[in-house]
Amino acid sequence: MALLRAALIALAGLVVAVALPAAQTFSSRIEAVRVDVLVTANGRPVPGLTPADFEVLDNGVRQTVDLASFEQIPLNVVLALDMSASLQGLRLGHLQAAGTTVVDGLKPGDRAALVTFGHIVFANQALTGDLDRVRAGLFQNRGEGLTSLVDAVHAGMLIGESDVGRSLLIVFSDGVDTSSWLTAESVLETARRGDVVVYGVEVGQRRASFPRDLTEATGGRLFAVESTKDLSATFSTILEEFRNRYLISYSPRGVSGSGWHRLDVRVRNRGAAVKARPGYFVGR
Amino acid sequence: MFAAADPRPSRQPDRFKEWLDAVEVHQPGDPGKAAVEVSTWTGPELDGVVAAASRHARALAKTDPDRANRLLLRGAALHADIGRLIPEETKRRSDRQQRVYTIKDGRWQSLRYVSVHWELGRLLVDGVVPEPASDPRVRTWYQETSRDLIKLRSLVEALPHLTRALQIFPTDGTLLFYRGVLHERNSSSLLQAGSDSLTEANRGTSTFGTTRAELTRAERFFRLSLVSQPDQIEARLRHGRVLGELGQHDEAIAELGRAVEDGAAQELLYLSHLFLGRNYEALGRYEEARAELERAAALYPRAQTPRLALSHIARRTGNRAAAQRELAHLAALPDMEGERQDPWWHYYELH
Repeated sequence: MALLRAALIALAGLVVAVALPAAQTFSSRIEAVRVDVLVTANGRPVPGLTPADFEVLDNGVRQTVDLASFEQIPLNVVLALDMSASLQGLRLGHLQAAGTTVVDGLKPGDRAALVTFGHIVFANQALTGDLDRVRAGLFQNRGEGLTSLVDAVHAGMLIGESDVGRSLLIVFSDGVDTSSWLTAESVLETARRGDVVVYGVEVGQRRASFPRDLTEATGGRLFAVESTKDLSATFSTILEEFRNRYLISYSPRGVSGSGWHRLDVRVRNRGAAVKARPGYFVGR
Repeated sequence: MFAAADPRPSRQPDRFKEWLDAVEVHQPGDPGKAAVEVSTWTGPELDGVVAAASRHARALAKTDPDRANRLLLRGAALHADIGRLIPEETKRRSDRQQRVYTIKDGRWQSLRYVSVHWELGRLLVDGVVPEPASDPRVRTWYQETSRDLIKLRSLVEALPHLTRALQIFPTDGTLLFYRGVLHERNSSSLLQAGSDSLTEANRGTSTFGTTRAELTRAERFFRLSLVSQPDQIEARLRHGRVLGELGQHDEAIAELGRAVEDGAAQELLYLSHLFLGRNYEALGRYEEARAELERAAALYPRAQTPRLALSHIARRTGNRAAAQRELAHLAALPDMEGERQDPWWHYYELH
C-alpha cells in the first residue's frame, strides 16, 4: 500500500503538484512534500519506523506525516564521475570498478544513469533498467581535460529527477572545479528545489566547499578518502546507506507556499540520529 | 721549483663580442643558432653583456643615435625570442630569478624559474634615446611581446612586462587591454584553484589576488583600454563579462550589446550571447536570457554550454520538460572533443 501511495505522488522536484502534466510549470500550491531521511542509532540504520514515529516541522509548524516507506521504493542511481586529466591509469581503473560495484548492487526495478566529465560533460546514459549499458559506459570515456564538476552535477540532478522511485546522485571528483559554466551557487539553488539526494566522494587533499554544501543541502553525505584504492567499498557503503533511508511525505498545513521552507525532521523517543535536507525552496 | 707561466692566451670568451655578433645575425622570430647559443649563457654572463651593451649604446648614441637604437632594439628582439622559444627554465641561472609553479587543472604541477630574457630585453629597450616613449618600435615591441607572454601563459613574466610597458605608454589601448586580460585570467577558477593548491601544500602564495580583486583590476584596465581605443570588440566583450561577474548586470548588458552591434563575429559573437544570457538570467529576465542562449546555440550547435545554461534556466523556472529537452540535446552531442567546438572552453585565451 505504501508503495502504491508513493507512486501516486508526482515527483516534480521536492515540491510537487499532484497530477500535473510534465510540461507544465510547478503550481505554487504545495500538495505534497517528500523528504528522504536517514535514521541511525550507533551508526546503524534503524528499521521499522512508522509515520507516527516522525516529527516534521516545516518553517517551525508541526506537520502530520502521511507516509514513511523503507526499502520499498525502487532506486534511481546516477553516477557523476570525474574523469578529467588527473584521473588516469590505476586511479581510473579504481573508479570504473567502483562504478561497476554500484551497478552490480542494484535490484530488479532499480535504474541507473551515468554522467562522466572532464571539461566535457558526457550525459549520454539516461536512467535505464538496462544496467549493462551503464556498465559499458563506465569504460567509454577516458580521463582528459579540465574539471566541470558543477556543470556535471547539474546534469546529474536533472537526469535523476524522475516521477518514479527515489533518486541518488553519487558524485566523485579528485579535484576542484576549473571549467564549469554554471556557478556553484546557482546549482545549489537548483538542488534545494529538487529531491535528488547527493552523496559525494572526494579523493586527495583538496577540499572545496561545493561538494560539502551540495551534500548538506540535499541531506546526503560527503566521504573524503585519501586514495582511490578502496573506492569500491565507499561506493558500496553509499548505496547501502541510501537504500536504508526512509521516504516520508506530508501535505503542508499552516505554511505559506513560496520561498524557503526550513525543515526539522526528528524521530520521537528513539535517541536516533536523523539526517535529512535542511529545507526546500518553492517558487522562482 | 715553480711552474712556468702558461704561455697560451686566455680561453675566457668575450661574451660581449659574441653577443654583438649574435644580435647582428639573429633573424627576429627565428629560433636560430645565435639565439640558442646565447640561451646557454649564465646569469652573470648575461647581466654583464647587457650592462656592456647599454654602456656601448649610450656612447654610440652621442654620435649615431639611430645605430644605437637599432642595436638596442635588435638586442631586445633577440632576448624576447629566447624568452619565447625557451619558456621553461628548469635551472636557476641567476639569483634574481623568481621561482614559479606551473598549474594544471587547478593544481600545481612543477617548478620552473622566470626567464631572465624578458627583463634583459626591457633593460635594453629602456636605453633607447632620446626616450623609449618617442620610438614607435618600442611600442610595437611591447605590444607584440605582451601578446606573446599571454599566449604562452607566462603570466608571472607578463605582469612586470606590462607594468613597465604601461609606465612608458600609459594610455596605449592595446597594452591596457592585455593587462586586463592578465587580471581576468588570474580571476579564473583554474588559476584560483591552482593558487589554493600552492597555499595548501605550503609552497608559498601566488602573486595574484582573490577572484573579486582580480576582476576589479581587469574591469579598470578594460575600461581604460576602451577609452583609448573604443573600437576593440574583444575588449568590449571582456569588459561586459567582467562587469557581469562583479554584479553590474545592467552595465554588462549594455556593454555586451554594444560588442554585438560593433560587429563581434563567430567566437566573440557566441561568447557575447552567452554572457548576455547569463546577465539577463541574473536579473530574472528569463525570456531574454533564453533568446540570447538560443542565439549562441545556433552559432555553435555542438557546444554544450548553451544547453547547460538553457536547462538550468528551465529547471530554475520550474519547467522540467524543457530542462529535460535541453539535457537530451546535451546527450546527443558528439563524443569527441574535436567535434564539440565550444569557445567557452578557450575563453581565457586571446581571440
